[in-house]
Amino acid sequence: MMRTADALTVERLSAGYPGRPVIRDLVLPPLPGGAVTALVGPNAAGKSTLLKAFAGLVKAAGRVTFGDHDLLRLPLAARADLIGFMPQSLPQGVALSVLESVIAAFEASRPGALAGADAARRAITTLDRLGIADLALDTLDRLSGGQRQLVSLAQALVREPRLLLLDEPTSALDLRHQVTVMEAVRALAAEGRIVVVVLHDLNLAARWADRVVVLDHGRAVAVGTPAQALTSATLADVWGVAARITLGPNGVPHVVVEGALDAPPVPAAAPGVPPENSTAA
Amino acid sequence: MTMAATDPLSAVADAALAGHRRRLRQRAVVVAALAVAALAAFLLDLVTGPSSLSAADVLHGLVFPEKLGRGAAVIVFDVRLPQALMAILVGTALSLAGAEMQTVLNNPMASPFTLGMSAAATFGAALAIVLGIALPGVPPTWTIPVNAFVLAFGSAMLLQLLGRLRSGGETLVLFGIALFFTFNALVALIQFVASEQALQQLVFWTMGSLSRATREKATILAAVIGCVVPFSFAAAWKLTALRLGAERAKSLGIDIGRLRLFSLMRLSLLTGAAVAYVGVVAFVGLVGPHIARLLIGEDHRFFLPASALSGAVLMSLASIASKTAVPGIVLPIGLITSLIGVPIFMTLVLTRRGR
Repeated sequence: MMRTADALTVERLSAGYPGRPVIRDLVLPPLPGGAVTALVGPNAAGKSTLLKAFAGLVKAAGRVTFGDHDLLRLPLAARADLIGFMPQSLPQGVALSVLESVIAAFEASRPGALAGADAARRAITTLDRLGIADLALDTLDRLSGGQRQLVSLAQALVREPRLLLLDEPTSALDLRHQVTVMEAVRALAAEGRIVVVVLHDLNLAARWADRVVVLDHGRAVAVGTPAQALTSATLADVWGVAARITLGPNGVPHVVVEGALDAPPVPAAAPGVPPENSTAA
Repeated sequence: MTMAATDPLSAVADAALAGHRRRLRQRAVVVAALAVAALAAFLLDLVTGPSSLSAADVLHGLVFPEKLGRGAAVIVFDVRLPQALMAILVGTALSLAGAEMQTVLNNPMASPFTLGMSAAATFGAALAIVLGIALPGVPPTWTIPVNAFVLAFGSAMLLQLLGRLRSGGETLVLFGIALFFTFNALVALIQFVASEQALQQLVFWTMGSLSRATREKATILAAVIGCVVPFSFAAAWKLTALRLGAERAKSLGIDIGRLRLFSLMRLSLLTGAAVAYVGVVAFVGLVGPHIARLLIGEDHRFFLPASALSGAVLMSLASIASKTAVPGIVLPIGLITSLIGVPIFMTLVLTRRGR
């Protein structure tokens, strides 16, 4: 069973690309284990960069503690044992089967940790857990968009990380697959993991996340339950839209955007800020 | 979630696992079959040639060298054997180098030829042949291969250095293409000032030929391959994981810069040693990995040996073709690999589309 006591704490975190800082002095209240935290915000707000800073994929300074670990000072391989990162997309044209890709994700930086047969068994167990064991022998390239996302999730999950970072796992998915992925994400959090997920769709965040962090220009503008963080005022300030928030019967807020405000606060592509999809290769 | 290896699996998962194991066995069989094919091509290469020796004579002579006549012994042991060995070794080296290159640069068009290493080697050879420039202390018979090796290795290191300025496989490929054109232009410049005799020698070198092969050179190349292969295979899992994307690989704890650096060092050793002895051989380093990928996918535990063996088979077949295409004449093998490489490559590209 997971340890539930560990929380993720962010203190004065700065992160970004050479010559292009994206996040400056970010402070977040501790993100608890067993909960799903959604990172939302407009394009170039720093959502993906924050996730990548946790995962060690971009240069970062400050302090990110997870249990007893100072994440930013852990070597890559040690960090990889704690963290599962799911990038926005899988590359095309890869001649690997689904199962092989998950085994490779397990073996990558610690070959020989398990005998080959055990690693394969562990990989298929992960696929089984996500309900996609039937895809195990399919080639990655033949999968549909939703299947690809689930396989990508399996790759992030095979080492049983205690901290799961998902970069827009539902982008380009139809409604049914969005639900499938988010249900899987909830179940993973329920086992004590910390799950941090970047989402564009505010209603998806409101429906599935326990906590929402609204980022804008690399700063946390609002943090709290979906109902606390997603208010008309925040939406007007951050996205520049007029929005009505209604509460559903179960207390889940629902965002209805009525239109753009006359003066949007900042153009989407501010100079010096990398586009949302830029990768730190 | 408990994912202990002892948990019972669902029927679907059990079947998938069995299917996966079956596939692993099939792959091992494919690799073994390629090894047998390479051996068969090697033997066929040995018994093929313009002299009147029969296949039985050659094979018998190999087993009982003392029973061969003096002329026949020279043909078998000083001409056929080193050339056939060299074909296998060069094919292995170039194709293994191409396979690693395509993975670390994440580009299916990457090969020692397309990214300028062969062009750099040609430039090194041209310096020796036309201008007589050589490293101090190198015996005259070795100036061409040593120059070729140094330049090929140097160009790979330059590629690595340039890649450090701007990271990413795509940038490296662009730098490689720039190197390709730069070295070709430098070679053209040297050709412009070359004497007729030197020009002829240089042109012959650029066509790639096994005719300069000796047992000594084959032994050296075999030693280089033998030193590099264990490190290549040891990196197999990391290379496979790199196929899942650079970000994913890094998040899995792989130091990508280091992986790329060591891989480039390995493949520049392989390429440098191969082209130093036989000159420019195009397409083997490109096509070999593609054949392997089609046959067994990209699990690098199988993909790397399959690439190496595919390259060996291709090069050996090209060697046979170079001796039989025009009766009485041995064509430069580089011409053959280009001529048969292009249609093979086109077929591969077209069938890939169709998948």
